[in-house]
Amino acid sequence: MVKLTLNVVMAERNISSQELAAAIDITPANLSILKTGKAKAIRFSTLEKICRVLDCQPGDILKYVPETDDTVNH
Amino acid sequence: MDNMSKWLKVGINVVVILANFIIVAASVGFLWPIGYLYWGVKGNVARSVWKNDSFLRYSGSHRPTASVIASFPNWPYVLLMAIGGAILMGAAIWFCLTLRKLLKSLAAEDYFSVANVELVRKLVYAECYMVFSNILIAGGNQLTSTWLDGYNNGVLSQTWSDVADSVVGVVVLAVIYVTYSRAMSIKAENDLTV
Repeated sequence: MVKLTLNVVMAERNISSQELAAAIDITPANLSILKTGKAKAIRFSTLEKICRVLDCQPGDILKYVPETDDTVNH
Repeated sequence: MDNMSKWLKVGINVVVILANFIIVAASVGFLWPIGYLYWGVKGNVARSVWKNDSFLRYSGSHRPTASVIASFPNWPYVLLMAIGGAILMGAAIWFCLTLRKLLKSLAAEDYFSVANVELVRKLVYAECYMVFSNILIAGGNQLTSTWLDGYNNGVLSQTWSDVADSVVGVVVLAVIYVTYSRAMSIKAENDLTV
């Protein structure tokens, strides 16, 4: 499965959720969906904005984690 | 309500009024199954059916003979009509109550919600009960048609063609339910796309 590690990058850049949400023009609720891993998909436009504001690559905030039996069941 | 067209609002109100009317009529309709049970307890069911104003004779039919009346399956007929009638009235009330809730939800512009999908599922179940009740009632009416050479033209006059019609109703509602469920899951996915 693909995991979002937005939290880590935000902490490294020392930027709050509110600041990031305002900078990339999405609602705090939607940013929360991203941060908590509830998102089913992410638009290229959103990804682009996040990368521009956080000055990072998509690979820095997206990580592929192979699914084990345990994660599949959950 | 601002975005909803005036005619859609009027249409919803009309259907809600019709649903209310059917709820009242079906509540009164519970008297019919009770009436059939009364005939059963009283005896002479075939004679009661034959004398009933709603029972129309086929052209050229003769008054049933004493042996035909004696051989008429009284209790199977009474039970088919009473149980079928009671289930039909109950299902009709359930259907209309559910439809009313669904329409009120749509009138409040709450189009895509889990509750609405659940309501459409209940409509499918209510229609399934109606199919079952129509089978029982059509069976009962088949008995009078075979034995007494006539047909019921009043309340609970369902025949096999009505069963087929109600099956079509189930199919249509089931298609709406499946489509609505799919739309809901697409919307849920869309809501979680950031």
